Parts: sequence; structure tokens; C-alpha cells
Amino acid sequence: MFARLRGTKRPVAGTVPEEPAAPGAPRERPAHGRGSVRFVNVTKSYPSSHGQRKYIVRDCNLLFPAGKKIALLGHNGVGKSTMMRIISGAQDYDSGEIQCNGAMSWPIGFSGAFHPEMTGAQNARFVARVHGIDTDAMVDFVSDFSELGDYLDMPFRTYSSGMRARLAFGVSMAVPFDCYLVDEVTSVGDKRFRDKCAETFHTRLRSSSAIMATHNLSQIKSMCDMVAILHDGELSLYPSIEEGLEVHKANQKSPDKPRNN
Amino acid sequence: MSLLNSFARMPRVVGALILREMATTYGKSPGGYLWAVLEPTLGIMVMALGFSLLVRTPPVGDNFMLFYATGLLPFSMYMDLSNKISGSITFSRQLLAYPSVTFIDAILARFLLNALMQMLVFYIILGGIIVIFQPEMIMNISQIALALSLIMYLALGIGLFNCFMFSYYPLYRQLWGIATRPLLICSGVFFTYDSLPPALQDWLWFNPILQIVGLMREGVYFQYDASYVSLSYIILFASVPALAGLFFLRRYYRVILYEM
Repeated sequence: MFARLRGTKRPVAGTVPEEPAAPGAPRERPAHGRGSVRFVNVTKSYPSSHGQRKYIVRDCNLLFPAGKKIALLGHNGVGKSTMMRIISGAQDYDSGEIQCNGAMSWPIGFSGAFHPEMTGAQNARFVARVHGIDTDAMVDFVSDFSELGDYLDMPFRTYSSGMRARLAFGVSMAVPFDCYLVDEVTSVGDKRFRDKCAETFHTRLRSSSAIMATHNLSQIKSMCDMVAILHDGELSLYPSIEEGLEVHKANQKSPDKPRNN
Repeated sequence: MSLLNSFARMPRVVGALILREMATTYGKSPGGYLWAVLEPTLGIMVMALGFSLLVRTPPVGDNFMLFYATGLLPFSMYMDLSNKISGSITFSRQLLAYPSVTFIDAILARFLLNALMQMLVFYIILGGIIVIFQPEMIMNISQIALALSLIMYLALGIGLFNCFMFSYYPLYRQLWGIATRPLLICSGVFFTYDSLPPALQDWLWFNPILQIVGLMREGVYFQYDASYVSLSYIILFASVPALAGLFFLRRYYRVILYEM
């Protein structure tokens, strides 16, 4: 409503053609450019039993470079979703600083914000209004991407989990962000949908960064450039996917040493 | 540009939240909006009928409906608004995961929509009583507007403080419920401040709702004088919890959302 009154609406992501790079200009962007995330001495912990604290990360210094698609690995309960939320700014961390360059998305795959009584289209329009995007363009994009057909005008509560994931992914892909935070969403749905997600990442969102938490190894190989591993209160980045997956496998075998004090 | 954007962001987000709440709360059943008007109307009618059997005339004027409406409408306005605001973080919990929605947006949207709704209810009921019964009256519109804005400000202040306290100390919610149960009786809905014995007057004077009801009656009845009201007391009573609530919510709302 207000976006319409204001008259200046942002287009849906990926519809503005990128300017061709000037001849001779370096193709690689600087690692700290738009879409990068820098951790400076970041510590995040939860209170656990017996008055001790469970550390998710401790004094973490790291740079997620701009324009890279990074897979975030770690076994269940290690704090991947918490990491996503502290990067998006929804949750607080104990100390240090997270410097996000550019606009961060909300953790995608999060369909909890969709109202069960509102239709898919109404929910999409709400997200468009909140982010100042033209509501009709948003609905067009979502109906094209999610292939929900007539279901788009049905209440969200009637959706199956695959349909929910398709709507959630479609809505968030329409909003232009510099860095997309993807939480497990792409492992839902059939193969066709997963291929479509991978293709979207490589073409339309080529210039954006992404940090995605997933367990699907084949997907990591097809979608990501780097691997970050969260293990035992430490976050480490591996530029080579093969090396990262090796470390991840080794971590899975060794029992988690509790580091409480 | 980014400064301009952040100014444009707030009305845009608040507008989207208001549309969403309208579609999901009131729009669910066709009687949704109607019920918001009917509920206080029926309350006033029952009260007026009951008391008209007991006493010959209301404490001020000669119309029972008008007298109880001037008391019950501000009171229910306060109750509804402060309850809605104190629940706004829980109500918009999921939406606060969007980085572009802040807790201020969530609270502001709830306050604006429900204040507008309550104003409409007030206008319809008071207007209806005046049209149907045509009591002899000289209204002081600015006094009525003052009373309405004060009751909304008070509801906002208490609501902000409780929004933090209810989520952070669940026991406080129980205690608050018990402590405010007699509020309907001691807010001057059924009587006027002047008709009370002095011992009670000394105590009940500290109830800001009773003072605002007095202001409202001064605006509606030309023969009623509410010189006991202290505007600065009411404003102070609302501002202190409002500031405290804002301060603690700003510091702790992320903790409330994910770690409580």
C-alpha cells in the first residue's frame, strides 16, 4: 500500500541486467566487497546444565568472501541455525563484532513467518511490502518460480511441506540481497525443484554471496565454492570443497569433546 | 539515499503489518468488525439496565447509557490497547526474523490499528447514544480529545512495560492479573470521584484511569467539574513505564525471541 503511494519500488531481484564489466577491469571483486561477512572475535554461547555454558563459537575471526557460495557444515545441534540467525541480525551474540557488508537476507527456508490463514499470494505480498518491492511483480515471480499454480490462492495451512519450501524459497529469491542465508530449504522437495534452486544460484544470483546450511553432499558439490565447518566451538573455512568434506567426515567420526568452562 | 530509505522503511513496514493484522484478526469472520462495536455496546446496555432498576438517576445527568458509556468506553479502551501492546512481541514473533522488521514496527503497528479501531468504536457508540436519546448536553470536544489521547498514551506506556515484563518474568503476569482484577470497580465507571468518602478518595486518586474518566465526563457533561485531576500526574504515570519498557525491550528483545 505504502510502496504504491511512494511510487519508488525496487524491482524483483535479478531483473535488472548487470552492467558489462569494462574491458581490462579485474573480474574478481575484492574479498571484503558487498556481500562479505567478517567475524571479529565473535563469541556466542548458551547456558547449559549445571550453570555451565555451551560455546557455539569462541573468539572467532573469519572472513566469508564476497560473491562466494559457502556451505556451512556441522553435525546436528552444533548451532548452524543459531549462526544463521546471528549473521542475519535476528539474534544477539555475546561479544565481538559481525561486520556485514550489504543487505543480509533472513534465514531462508524459514516459512514460520507465513500466516497459516493467509494465501500464498497474500503472504508473498506481505514480504514484498515489508521490503519495498512491487507486490504484483513479487506475485508474478513467485508463481513462476514455485509452480504452485492454483494453490497460490489457497490458505498456507493447506500446503504440503514441499510446497511450503517452494513458496519460501521463491519469495526470498525475489528480494534483492547481497548475501543469502539458506537454512536447509533446498534439501526439501523433489529433484526438479532442487535443480531449479541450484540453477537460480548460478545464474540470477551470480553476483550475490550465499551461506547455506545443508547435509546434502551432492548439493554442496553442485552449488557451493567453499566449505565452512562449525565444530567444537570453532568455525573454520576451507577454500577447497574436497578438503572441507574430508575434515567434516573426520569430525563426524570423532566424538564431540565437551569444552565447557 | 540510505538515510531516505530508512525513513521510508518505517511507514512501509508498519503499513504492511497493519494490513496483515487487519486481514488475519478482524477479517476472519464477517462479524469481526461488528463484534468490536457490539461487545462494549452490550456491556453498557446491561449496566445501564441493571442500575436503572436500582437507582432513580445516574450520578451525573439523567441518561444511564450516557453515564456508563463515558466510564466504560475509556476503561475498555485502556484494557484492550494495553493488552494488545503487551502481547505484540509474541504476536509478531515470527515476523521479527525478517531483518527489516524491528520490534518498534511491531508495537507501533499494533498500537495504531487498535487505537484507530477503539476510536471508531467510541465514535459510533457515543454518537449512537446522542442520536437515539438526544440528551441535553454541551460537549467540550477538546476536553474529550484530551481524555482520549491520555488514555491511549497510558495504555501505550503500561503496555510497553508489560510487554517486556510478561516475557521476561512469567510470574509477573500472574501477579499483574491478580493486582489489576479490581480495576473495573475502582476506576470510576459506576460512580464519580466526588461521591466517594474522603478516606477512599485519598487512595483512589492515585488511579490514573479514574482521573481520565473524570476528564472524559467533564468534557461530556457541562455540569461536571473534574478539578481533582492532575494532568502532570497522568503523563508521568504513563511516561515512566513507557521509557523503561522501551529501554529494556531494546536491550532484551532478541533474548526474549530466541533464548527464553
